[in-house]
Amino acid sequence: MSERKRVCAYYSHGPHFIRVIGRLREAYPDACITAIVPPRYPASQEWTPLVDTIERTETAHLSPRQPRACLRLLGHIRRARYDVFAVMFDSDQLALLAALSGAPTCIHGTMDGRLVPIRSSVMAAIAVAVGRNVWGRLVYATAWLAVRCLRVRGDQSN
Amino acid sequence: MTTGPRKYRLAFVDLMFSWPPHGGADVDLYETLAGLARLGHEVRLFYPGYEASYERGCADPAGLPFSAEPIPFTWRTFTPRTTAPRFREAIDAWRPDAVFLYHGYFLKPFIAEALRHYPTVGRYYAYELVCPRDALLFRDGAPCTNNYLKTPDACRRCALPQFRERLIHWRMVAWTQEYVAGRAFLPSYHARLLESVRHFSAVIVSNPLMASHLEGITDAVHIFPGGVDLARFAYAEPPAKPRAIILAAGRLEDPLKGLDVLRRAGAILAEGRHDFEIWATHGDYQLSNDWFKTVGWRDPAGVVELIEQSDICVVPSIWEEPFGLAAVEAMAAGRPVCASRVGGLQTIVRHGETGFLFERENAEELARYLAELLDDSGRRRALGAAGRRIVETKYDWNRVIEGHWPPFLERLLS
Repeated sequence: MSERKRVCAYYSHGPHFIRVIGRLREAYPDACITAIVPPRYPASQEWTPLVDTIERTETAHLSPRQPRACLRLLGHIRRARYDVFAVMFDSDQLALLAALSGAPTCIHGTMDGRLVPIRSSVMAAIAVAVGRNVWGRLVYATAWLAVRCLRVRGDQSN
Repeated sequence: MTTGPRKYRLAFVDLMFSWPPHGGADVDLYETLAGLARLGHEVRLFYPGYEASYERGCADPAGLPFSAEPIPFTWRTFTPRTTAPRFREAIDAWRPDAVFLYHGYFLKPFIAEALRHYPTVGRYYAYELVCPRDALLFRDGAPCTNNYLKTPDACRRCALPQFRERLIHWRMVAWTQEYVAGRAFLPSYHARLLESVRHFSAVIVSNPLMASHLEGITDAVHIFPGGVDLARFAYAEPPAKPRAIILAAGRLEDPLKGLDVLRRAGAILAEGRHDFEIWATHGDYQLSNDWFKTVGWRDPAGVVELIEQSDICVVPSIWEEPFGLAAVEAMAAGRPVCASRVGGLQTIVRHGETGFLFERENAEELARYLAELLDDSGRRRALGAAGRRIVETKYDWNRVIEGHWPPFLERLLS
């Protein structure tokens, strides 16, 4: 008999968490689904019957500025050896977390509850994050120069 | 022989549309198009089918009660160079009598320019036209008196720092994405925006404050209120329970929605009484205590359920709310509303008749009104009933559409 698939849904602020949990259960009806949610995130009939296990993060807002807590969470996720790891947004940080989770299948949920595959290795996720950071700084520098050096003709505040 | 009003072919462009809705603007557009279709007009929505965004373009045209055409984009192609010709091509193929440019941010002027061969109408829900910082026109704890159309350099300087973190950490929300794509930091953007507003056959806004900002730029400004679908609200007595429920619903994570004011008012009330509980649609469950409970985000149906369980609704916003849908929804369910005396809220809530208006950020005054309502269930019922009557006559979507659109279209297209 084959072992049940292990699926993890990692909560981050977003109104679509419950919608995504529903879609995960539809997509993996026989899987053991674990939801990782903030400490006081309320269990409700809307979603708890759809998951098998609820785990709580150490704090409500986990960010890269808390490296130890992040490493503990990551270690916990990797030890669980999930087959599918789902995050709620397609941000760089969550893509990196998904890539580091070790799960062979990583997905992000959209606002309307769709499950979209994340195709990114750890190195690719880091490269994308660094590339975007550099690009963002360049765009901001351009905008800063334009705003500081170029005036709008006819401005009543000048 | 008499003939009815002329029927038109009306194209709507909305750069932010999603269904299920992400906010009041989506609901407004949906109800407007459904209402115009009911009136016999031929309507079609053109929106970006935008797979990679959680903010825009998540809608299935087959599930909409009107014709809709998604135009595919990715974040790379969502630029003026691509959006303007693609929307133009799609709209030209449909040949409408008029085009309505609905929700969107810094790309709207480019699309307006591409559609100049039609009578075009611009729709602005908040203050996006006059505040490139965040469309809120609120700074340092007070309404801002600047206006990008008239004081662009001050507004450009004010807006710029808002984008720093978002650009560096790639938090490309729709506002930032369009700011960069439209190069709204350049002086040429201001000229383009001004030109588009002057060229619009009409501009539709949500409240008199926004209309006043357009004085001297265009005379063709129309104020259209939002509305509610009355069928969604049961209008029944709240269920009996040991503690009365005071509800605040909306995007309360935004500090301008004034949750802090309500919590301060709750703390004042909690000093002397324990017969109430405040519920807030907020995602931070750490805020909960004996008398305050965060109930997470809710979709529109979930919000209606919460309102129906509640006894009193509060809208404590501190910015100039363009409309105030939360207040209208509460009134539709027959609940008394305590709202800040700001923006559209002060025209929706009638002080002493359908609820109470309190001064912006005045938690003591709010606590006083809440105590008054908690003490008198008969008063709550009377105010709620009056609110329901006002919604039935003024804010029911059918009334809004039938009252505003036929004369507006006649004037625009006759």
